[in-house]
Amino acid sequence: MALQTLDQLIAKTALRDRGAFGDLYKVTSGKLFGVCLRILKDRGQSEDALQEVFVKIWLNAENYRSGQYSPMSWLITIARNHAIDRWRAKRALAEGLDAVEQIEDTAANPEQSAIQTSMARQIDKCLAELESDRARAVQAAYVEGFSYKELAERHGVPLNTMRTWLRRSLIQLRECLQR
Amino acid sequence: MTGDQEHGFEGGTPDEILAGEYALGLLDAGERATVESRAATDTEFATLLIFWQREFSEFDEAYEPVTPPRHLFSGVENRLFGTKKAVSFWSSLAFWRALALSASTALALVVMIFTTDILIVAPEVQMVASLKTEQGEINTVVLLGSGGASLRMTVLSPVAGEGKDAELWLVKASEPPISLGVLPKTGRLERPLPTGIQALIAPGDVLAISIEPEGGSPTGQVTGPIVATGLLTEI
Repeated sequence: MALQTLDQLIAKTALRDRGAFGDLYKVTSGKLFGVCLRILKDRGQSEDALQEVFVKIWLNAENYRSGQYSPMSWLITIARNHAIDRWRAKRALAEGLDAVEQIEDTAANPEQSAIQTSMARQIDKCLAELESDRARAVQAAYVEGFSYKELAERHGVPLNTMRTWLRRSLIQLRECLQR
Repeated sequence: MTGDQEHGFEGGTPDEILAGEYALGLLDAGERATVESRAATDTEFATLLIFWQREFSEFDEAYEPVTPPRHLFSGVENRLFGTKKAVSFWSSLAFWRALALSASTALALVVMIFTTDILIVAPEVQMVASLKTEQGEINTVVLLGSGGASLRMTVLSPVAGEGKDAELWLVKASEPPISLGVLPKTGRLERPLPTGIQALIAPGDVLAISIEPEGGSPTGQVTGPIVATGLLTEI
């Protein structure tokens, strides 16, 4: 395959070029499968989700605007959102049918899962200015796709407290990032 | 949407926070769709979304790539292009064998054509939607069985007061909502979906509940407030 940028592959996919779509899959499916696995924590579910994600990519390729953010982060956003919806629907089903609160305990605890290797990135410097449990909650919301409710359960605080934590953290982050 | 007063912390505008919640993945599918449609026309708001998405995309390096099994891509192609050659029902040896063994041939033929036809035309797709209130509480769980033919609604907490009914709607992008009927006050209710709606309903659609006069909306359109929404997902 000729070396092509992700931008080009997405643009060709938008033009219904199945070969380019296949190449896009080859180059990006590993990362996107990693996203699904991280959020869904189940291999079978993640395999189904990955297929649905690529169906969405094919259908939405024409909506991609290059230059706004990297093509990879556009693709990851599609995968994250899809995996999050799938996870929440499944969780809701379990809760709904039992009509009881059911705390999923399959995932690692927040301490283990949320701390990512940090480079000297601006976002990390700004996260470091937050209280550590809040910084972890911000990262876990993004990386693990946790909802407010799941974060509240994991941190053992009321739902409204978690909302306040994260919204205040967003304000602090925005201020710091704009400095 | 999410109470603006709650959002009004010192130093941050509600939009800055909403855009951040969007980029973190904290919004549910219905809220996300609202945010996206707003960003399509409101450039200032769109800039905020891009700001947060760019910043948070730094976290993407936490996702370790894992090579998916080889067969997955042909699954994607099948879904999109239907390239997998459907095994012709009529050339199926098993079918003819079964038919030959069958005593009452005519009846068997009718039954088999009927059942097989359904299987081929509408493969069993189960979809689920959990409809949540603005406060994030699950109000109703909707399950669609066998190609969308049956609709099962489980209402966890009643939302409609005296003399009112809660009505379920199918919301497809840029089309007026389509009524899926009145919900039970509480508990579970199962009923078939009209064929016309079966063909329309698909994963990714949004379901919504509105409060309507007893017996359902008099106009066929949403007339009361939307109290819960949820995204249909394949399971």
